[in-house]
Amino acid sequence: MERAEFEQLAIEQMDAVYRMALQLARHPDEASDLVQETYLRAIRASSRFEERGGGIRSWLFTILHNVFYSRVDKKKRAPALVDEFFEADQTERPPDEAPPAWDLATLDWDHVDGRLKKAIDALPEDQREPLLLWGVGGMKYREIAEIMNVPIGTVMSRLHRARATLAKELEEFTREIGWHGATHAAGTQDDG
Amino acid sequence: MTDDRTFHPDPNTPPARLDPESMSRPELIRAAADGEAPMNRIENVDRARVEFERSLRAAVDRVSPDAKAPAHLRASIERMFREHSGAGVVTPASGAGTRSRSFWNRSVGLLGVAAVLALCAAVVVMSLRSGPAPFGGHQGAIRTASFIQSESDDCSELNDHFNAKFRARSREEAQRLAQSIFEKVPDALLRTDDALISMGYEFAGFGRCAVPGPGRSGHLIYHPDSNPAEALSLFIQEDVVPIGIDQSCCYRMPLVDTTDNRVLVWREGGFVYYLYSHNPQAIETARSIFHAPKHEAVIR
Repeated sequence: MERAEFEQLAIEQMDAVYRMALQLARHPDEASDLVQETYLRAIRASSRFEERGGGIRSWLFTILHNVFYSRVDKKKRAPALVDEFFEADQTERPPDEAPPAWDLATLDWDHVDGRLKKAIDALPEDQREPLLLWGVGGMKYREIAEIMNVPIGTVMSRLHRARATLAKELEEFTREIGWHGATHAAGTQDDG
Repeated sequence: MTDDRTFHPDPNTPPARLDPESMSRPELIRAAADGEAPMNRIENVDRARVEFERSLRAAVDRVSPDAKAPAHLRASIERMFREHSGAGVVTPASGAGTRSRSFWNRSVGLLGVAAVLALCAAVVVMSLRSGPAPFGGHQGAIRTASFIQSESDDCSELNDHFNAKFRARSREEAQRLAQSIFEKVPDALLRTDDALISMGYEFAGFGRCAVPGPGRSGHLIYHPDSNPAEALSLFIQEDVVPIGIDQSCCYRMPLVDTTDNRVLVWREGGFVYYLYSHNPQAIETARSIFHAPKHEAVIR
């Protein structure tokens, strides 16, 4: 790949990388710092991009992930992640979760935005990051596994737990506002 | 309902490697939601789950701020690319200086005169020679200086931008924040600023910044008690790549709209410092406080 082509592809992804950095760091200046360091490392390692193959966005997200966690106090993330990593393997099957506990046909997602955002912000970091990579970064499960350097089964179980937390939060919300469609589906789609 | 800002497959992503035949039911549902398995592989009873996955994904995307990279960050990264592309790379102007120092050290009696002559000569040589230009050339220097000027001017009043940026509001907090940004405290933050205080300046804050170029950076600002437009800023950036300026010299940088070179830059102790104010007297005082080299040159 020509240098100019690499530069163009990388710069095209800057908004996506910044957006993800902002989600991780939760502060604009820290996000700028993260993005700057991510691109500096990307430039220095550009030859490795071609060797590795794959999309440039997921490659930049991988660097961003590493930069971010190299700055986070290791105590914050080590225990759960290390255990999980060794317990999970590539053949781990994801949990077969129950279907959502409300009638999807009647749920108006636009009305749950505020509550959903709060619930996402409150997720543990090891669940929030894969959820954001999936929802905001547009990454697929296997790409998230590569970015976070964990088995795909681990990604699935973390996203499962994140979804379960969000579903519970939204279910409570629909109950609070008297959403009559809520729980309707639980009885009719229970096949999990 | 679906927000498709990010849901189109990344054009640079290789084709899916997943085989629907070998997937478990939950994997198939997730792959279908990712667009990596066809919906006709999904049993009717599971389609609601796929829809739920997609709706949740769209909602997660929608509730997350759609932030764009700020202009100064973009400029900084584009400059990084230029600096690493070869054409814009500048190398330090150092070799001759080392030999000169060892020569002059032999004659202690002539040290003062010799040092002055050597430094003057170095400045003249640097201004005349055709080697790599500081900041990769005139435009690069202007871009950086313009950033320094506009960022300082934008922070000259206690507005929302100021409040969001300057999280350290005392010198002690500034040192702690600098430690967390740079993993050490730059010497400039340890020096006494009494001379500025006696001129009517007050320590206003220190915060992270995104000075163009690689290396983490911070912004220290003093506000005058009279004219807010005369705020004084010191930008501190890690000195991680050669920017083509000599460590023994303080440089005045070019600006687009004026011939008055109010942005000064020098290197010291692993950092690059940029000093700026509309008030020339404040600049001179700050130069002394922050130990900028006395000898100076102008970047053309």
